[in-house]
Amino acid sequence: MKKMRKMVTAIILATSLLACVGCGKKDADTTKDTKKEQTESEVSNDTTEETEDYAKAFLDKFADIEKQAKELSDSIENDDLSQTEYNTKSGDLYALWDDCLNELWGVLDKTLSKEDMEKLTEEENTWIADKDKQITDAGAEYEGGSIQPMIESMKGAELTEKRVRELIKLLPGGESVGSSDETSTDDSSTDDSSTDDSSSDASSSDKLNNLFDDFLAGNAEVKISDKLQNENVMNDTAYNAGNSFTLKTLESLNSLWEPVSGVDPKVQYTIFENPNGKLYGLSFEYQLEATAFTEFFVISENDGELRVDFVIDAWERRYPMFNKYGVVFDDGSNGAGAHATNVFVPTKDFEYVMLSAQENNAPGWNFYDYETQQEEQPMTNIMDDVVNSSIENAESIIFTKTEVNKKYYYYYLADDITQDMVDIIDGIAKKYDFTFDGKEATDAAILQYAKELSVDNIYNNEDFAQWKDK
Amino acid sequence: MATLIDGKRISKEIKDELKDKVAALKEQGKEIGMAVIQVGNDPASSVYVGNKKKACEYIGIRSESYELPEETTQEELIELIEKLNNDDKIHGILVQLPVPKHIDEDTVIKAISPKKDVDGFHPQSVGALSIGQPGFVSCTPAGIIQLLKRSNIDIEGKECVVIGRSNIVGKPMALLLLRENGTVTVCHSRTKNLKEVCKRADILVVAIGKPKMIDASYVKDGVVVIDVGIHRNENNKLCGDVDFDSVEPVASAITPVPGGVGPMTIAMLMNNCVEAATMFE
Repeated sequence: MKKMRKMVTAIILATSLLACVGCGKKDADTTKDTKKEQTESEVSNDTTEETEDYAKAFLDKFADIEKQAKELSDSIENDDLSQTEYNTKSGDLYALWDDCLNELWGVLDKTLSKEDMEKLTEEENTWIADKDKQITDAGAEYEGGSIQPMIESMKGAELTEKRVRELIKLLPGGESVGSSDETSTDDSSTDDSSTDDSSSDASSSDKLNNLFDDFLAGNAEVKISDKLQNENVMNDTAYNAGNSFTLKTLESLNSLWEPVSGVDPKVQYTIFENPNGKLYGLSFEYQLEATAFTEFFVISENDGELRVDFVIDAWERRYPMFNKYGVVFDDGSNGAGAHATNVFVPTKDFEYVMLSAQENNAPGWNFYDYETQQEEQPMTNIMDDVVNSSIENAESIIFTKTEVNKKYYYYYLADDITQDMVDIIDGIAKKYDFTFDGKEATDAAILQYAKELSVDNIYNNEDFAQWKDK
Repeated sequence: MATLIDGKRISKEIKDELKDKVAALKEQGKEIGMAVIQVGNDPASSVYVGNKKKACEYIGIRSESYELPEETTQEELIELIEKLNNDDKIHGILVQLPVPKHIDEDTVIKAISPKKDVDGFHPQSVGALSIGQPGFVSCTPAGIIQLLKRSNIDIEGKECVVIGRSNIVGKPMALLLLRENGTVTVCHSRTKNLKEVCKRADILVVAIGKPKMIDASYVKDGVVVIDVGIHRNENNKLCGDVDFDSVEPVASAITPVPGGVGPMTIAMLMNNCVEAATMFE
């Protein structure tokens, strides 16, 4: 376009000059000039068309490139890959954008003026140097680790995509494709009926995706919710309200980690759509002494920032995961040495209600009581239960209301409640001024509430109706 | 008030000694190699394998990593093990457990040459321990012996009680204490008078798998307590099989959790690998 404008200007100027100088030969000259004008005009039209053809051909191809990029991104985000596969796919993504940029450059070379191209080339050289530095810096923190190639490739892909989108606007018709597409990263196992198609939802989804991408690229921070206290997890952690961490500083949150442990902790994440919004589960494994742990953060977007609402510290191979209810987690010990499958259900304000299904044949390992000389019930493989966790399978339910400023308290439903439990609940409820639906938290009220939330009635409860059959 | 037996310090000591040993062997032209095999990509296994490789790196042992896909057949895995058995550059072979369900663990363990069985799981290694022949010892109990020795705690002639009879800890622990001339009793799920037996112990090794079960009522004054367990208590804090607050005031020495037995495992694995280079020469 610029080239065309310049040509037209030149033509006008040339025409004006000739009109002033060659008056005597005006008729013949005019004719000649007119002819020249016509010829130049035809040339400029041809050039414009050619430019537009180049641009169009590229833009057509660009849609396909975006599609390929999305497929790769989605796979990196959602698939359960080995580190090698992460490295390969992120490398492919980077290469895709790099090739795209090279091709775009070729098109710009054909479509921009020489002066513009020279200026752009200078800018591009600066950009390349800066990009290379950012990639090196991003990877430096993981030097020698198996995750380093992925970090570098993702950074490269991110920067190159951004550059492509900046430069593509210089093409005719490129302005409309210069913005980043919505990258839907819905967990395919979740129910889509929970998501609206409104544009505000789409943009908030973009926002969260972009924030999370930034976090994974090492640029953004995640903040621990102001309400979260570190009593929920192991001691000697820094999951204090208001703390932030980046991918780099994640390890430093837990001072119990072995110096040689947590080597490039394999960060994995899942995305969960639930009626109250979008959640990310960020997990990574580390070793403490002889045991591997999974740290699982439940993250939401809050005022443009990523926020950790909840932390689960899971023992070896008890991997928390999302299911239709929320975050499912096999709690190795609830203080009594027993096992429970816990489901943390996020409410609208991203506080969490925990439903704990403790079966008579509680899952876990074989457990022998030395004092009573009794064999405990033989235990079943927890993982199937965790994956397919369903409240219907519980023979009794321990309902725990977790208010993040308050401690856990437990009460059993139906016949399982004991006086000890009531005492504990009573004490805690009074201390924290807990109420049940506005009623005073007396023993009777607690018992009544607990009984109402029986296995059969759970789906009729207003709080949980949204989860029914989702 | 008991002396804390500091597993973190002792494991570092051992690793540093091994580092020097390996450097000296290198100067003599001997490079120690360890093969680590992982089948599938279970995240916990990946963590363990990663740490073992890092420990090798620290000490100067060359590690060769084999990350096999989940669908690897038993035959393919055995073939690899046999190849490594015959590789002079590999002195230790470790298969990260668990393996996928379609592979039989016992068959795999038996396929590893006893001369390279750094985990000490091979029946021949176990048998060798039993009859006092050279062989590899399971890392956790080997680590416990080191904790005792390096804390100047005599085992000879002492009444030693081991609670738990697992193949990985309890049984080899008993044999090792016996090797050190302790008088050894093993308690298990059918023991009738657990408290009474435990109270006899000068050295009590607890590998029971139940959080904070052993309190002061199980021990005599001056006992040395080794806590192998690791759990999380009702406050989400780590604890062992021993009720530390109850036992510590009456014990003469005790391992904390964490920081006691746990750090020793990987140190002893490295020790086994270094030993592998010279044990069967």
